[in-house]
Amino acid sequence: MHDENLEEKVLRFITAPADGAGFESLAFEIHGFQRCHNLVYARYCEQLGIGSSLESWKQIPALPQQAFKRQRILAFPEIDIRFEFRTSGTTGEGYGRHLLPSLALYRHSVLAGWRYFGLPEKGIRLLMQAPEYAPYSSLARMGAILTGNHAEAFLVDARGGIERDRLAKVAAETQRPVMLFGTALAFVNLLEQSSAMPLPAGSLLMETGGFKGSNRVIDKTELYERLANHFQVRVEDIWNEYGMTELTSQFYSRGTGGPHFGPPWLRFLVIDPETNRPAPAGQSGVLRIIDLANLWSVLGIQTQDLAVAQPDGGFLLLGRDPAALPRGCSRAVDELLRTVRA
Amino acid sequence: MTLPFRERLERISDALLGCPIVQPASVAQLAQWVDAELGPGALSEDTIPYGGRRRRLQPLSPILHVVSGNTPHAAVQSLVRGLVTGAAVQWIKVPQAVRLAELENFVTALPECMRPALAQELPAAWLERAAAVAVFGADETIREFARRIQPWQRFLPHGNKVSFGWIRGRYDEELLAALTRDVVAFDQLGCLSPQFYLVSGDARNFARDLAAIFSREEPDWPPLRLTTQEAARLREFRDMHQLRAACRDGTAVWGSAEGLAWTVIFDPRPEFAWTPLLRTVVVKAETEGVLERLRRIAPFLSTIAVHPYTEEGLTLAVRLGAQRVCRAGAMQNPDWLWHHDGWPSLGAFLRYVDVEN
Repeated sequence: MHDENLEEKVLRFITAPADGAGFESLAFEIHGFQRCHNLVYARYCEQLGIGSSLESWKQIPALPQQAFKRQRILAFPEIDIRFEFRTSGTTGEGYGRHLLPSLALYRHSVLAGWRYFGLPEKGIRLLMQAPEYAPYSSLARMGAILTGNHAEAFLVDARGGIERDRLAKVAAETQRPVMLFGTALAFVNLLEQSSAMPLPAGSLLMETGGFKGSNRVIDKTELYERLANHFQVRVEDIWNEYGMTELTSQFYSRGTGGPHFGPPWLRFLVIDPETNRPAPAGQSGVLRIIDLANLWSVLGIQTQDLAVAQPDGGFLLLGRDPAALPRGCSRAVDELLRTVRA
Repeated sequence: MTLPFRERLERISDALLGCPIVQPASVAQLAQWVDAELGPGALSEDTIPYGGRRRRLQPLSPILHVVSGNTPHAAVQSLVRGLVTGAAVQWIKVPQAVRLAELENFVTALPECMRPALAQELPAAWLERAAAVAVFGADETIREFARRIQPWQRFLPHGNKVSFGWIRGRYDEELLAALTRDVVAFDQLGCLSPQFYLVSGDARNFARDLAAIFSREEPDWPPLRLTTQEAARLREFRDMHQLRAACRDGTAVWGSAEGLAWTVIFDPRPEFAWTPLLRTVVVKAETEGVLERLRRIAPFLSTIAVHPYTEEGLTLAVRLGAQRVCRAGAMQNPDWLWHHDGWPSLGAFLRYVDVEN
């Protein structure tokens, strides 16, 4: 059985976080719990020589995000696995799996985070498939949680096509503001496949997920300007959700160039990869996330994204830049083997 | 104006004295190179006897060299080959992002009549008029130039390669120190840099011993200057192998205590994982599974450093597909006779004219 008492504590913190007071003590408690119940994490900490007694939440060891592709990251018995979210697997290294015994924490974290940022709970329309067509998608599940899993909210059909006519009808007939939530790729497809679709005044867009599985990349400023024109909303009414399959909670930013913020149970550090310690103010580094709602896997995750911490408590996401990878005339053997195989 | 053969060699030899990234060469050594590859008098005389007839070797000119930012030594080597053959005109397309100071200094040390023109932006006329085009870089760059090359132009692509060290017997600290020099040179980004070491015998102990020498030698190395992205990938590579080690799959990790100056991984799997290079060495046991994978990429194999340097070891390396076999510690210092990527180094820049009796 999993630890329902600790789950209750986290749920209480999420629903009444009191601006983060108690974050550190709860983080220590979860860390201790995961050191006992998550064998992979316990061994990883041991391998790094990190003791179980910590002085600050900033010392909590983080598992590399890639670990979810290599191992089962579980802080509960395998027999209790009830839900599985998978990463897109677009990097060619297989997909990562986030395994859960229940969706209680996910549901509360999604809803409480949405409310924390004052996002509208009505009029949500989703440029994504319903969970029945995408059972391993955490994003589809998030959409279902936000909309009470109403079929009419989902505007992508079973084959992955955007139901443009239904969306056009929503735009034309709805008088009340709409929150249109989808991946950047879905929005780009929509821009290319449909004519302008003005939304009712006060409508918002929520964009997430980048361009996974696609060769297309559009600069964020350009994308937001095109979206603003297409839907007749202001650029500052376009939000970005920064989440990942391996997390239970989400960060949000608004407009272009703005920092991302998280709810009180979600914190971040920008780590200087050379020293593996927090980067000096204003310096870019690797984004490390501490998510208290990740009780059933691991609360500390070292992402592959670069970011810069901001004085206002948020972070500017720089993303990944493949062009900046080491280049030379040396070529990795695994790449060549793939070439030969192809 | 092209200087006479002997005078050319004197000027090249003088300029090489101030170029620490390639081997120096006396006039006699340069002449020996020409004699060894082309035969005595091949470049100094009008025609020479050749199998009952005569032949004349004419330098291809102009030569266009397209060079990469991380291997300035390859740029100097390619230029010197053209200088020795007597190409009247040479052009070098240098990278935009990185300044190749060593190449620039070498060019400055040459007499004006031998100097190539350098440009960051490739003038269209250079590619249109070049008799020979040598391109160094990633396969994407090579493909782009291959697409634009004309049928009458000689194309010398030097694309991505794999080099490694093969340890087949007892070793000592001196040998391990030599291996670290191979790794540190050009921050391991050259096509002659060892990506990994293949070890027959106890590979894990070898990795541990190599790590101890890395730790000892590190203070003497020039600092590794990393971008944040490079450092992030290095850190992730180290962390993921720490995770493997934690999960007890036999992996072992050693690394600089502070920073990312070096990393040594013992990887027990036959598969080859991506490595970030930049002083990151993977040690693998010599197993049939590993050898089978290497045979499949034989066309991409460049240099294999073999230890001990025995006939048996050299034969195995050649059979595996090595283009060049050398001693440990000498991977980055091929001498001037080296047939880069398996081609005649001087002959590639020459046109052979046959004069029959």
